[in-house]
Amino acid sequence: MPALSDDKPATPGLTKDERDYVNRVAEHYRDTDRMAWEHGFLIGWLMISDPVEQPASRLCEVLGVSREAVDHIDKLLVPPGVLERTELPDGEYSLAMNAEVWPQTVQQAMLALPSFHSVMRYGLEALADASEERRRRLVNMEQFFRYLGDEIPAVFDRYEPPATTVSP
Amino acid sequence: MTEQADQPPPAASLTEKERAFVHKVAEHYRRIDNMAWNTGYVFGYMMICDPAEQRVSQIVEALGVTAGDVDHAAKLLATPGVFEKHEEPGGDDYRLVLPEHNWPKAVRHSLVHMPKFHQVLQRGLEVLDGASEERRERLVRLEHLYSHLATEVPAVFDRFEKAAE
Repeated sequence: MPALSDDKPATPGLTKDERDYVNRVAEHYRDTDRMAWEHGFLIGWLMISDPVEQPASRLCEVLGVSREAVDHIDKLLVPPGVLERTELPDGEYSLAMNAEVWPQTVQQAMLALPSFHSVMRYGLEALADASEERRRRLVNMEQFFRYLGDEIPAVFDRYEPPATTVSP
Repeated sequence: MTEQADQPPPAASLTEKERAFVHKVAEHYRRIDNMAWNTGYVFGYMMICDPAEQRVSQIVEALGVTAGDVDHAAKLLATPGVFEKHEEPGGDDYRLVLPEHNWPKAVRHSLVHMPKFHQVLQRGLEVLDGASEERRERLVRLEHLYSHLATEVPAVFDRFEKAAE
């Protein structure tokens, strides 16, 4: 949930174009996930930062975000592997976006959607003797998730990842 | 955010099978979205409750959750149009209902953002025009994926809607 004092950060270290891009990413996550501005700005910047790896204190400086916001993004995106965390010798840490893991994470989240189909099937069994009117919500959703279960994996079957663009 | 101490609510008035179903729904959203147990239980319960429309106080009693939990679930799911909220005149109580066709529409709503996100990524590549390959690689990979999803995913929903007509 965005806090009440949720404002767009000042981004003192970004060019006008960089800010424009990062702002668009934050707007997207605001629309889809109601993400706080600072969090959206951090994700957008970690997509285009130079260098890729950014110490937490540097992120605060360049974007003008709070340390809490950086810690939040660290907790949110390091476990799924979208961001890589490196401990620095001074007790600080840095974050770097992993360009290969993010597409895999999107794919997993989308493929998990049809897995909801089995939960709906279970619901229809649980309500086997209930009235048609009561069962109708589940009948519709079972149909919908069964359809997604066939279609979404096919979307990824048709996807060809790009050839590696940068040699290690 | 879920708390460390987050536990499933008692849901004592539900039958064993109903509770098992509601629990599975909550488990699913916990795994995918890190949703708190009580919120997931409200969501699952709204799929099978009888009657379909329920007052906040009825949900609180059926599940053993707080009115705050119901408010939270209502906020989370009324905005994308999954739940409908009907205000009770003259009181602060309200009724919630999950209309049967709303959910597919809401899932579609969240997924059809993909073409827009693809446009955002294209803008990023413009901004990084002339930057090093190392700097551009993150966007190149994401843009590649989303250019595929931006065409394919809306088509999946179009076919579903055509088939349903």
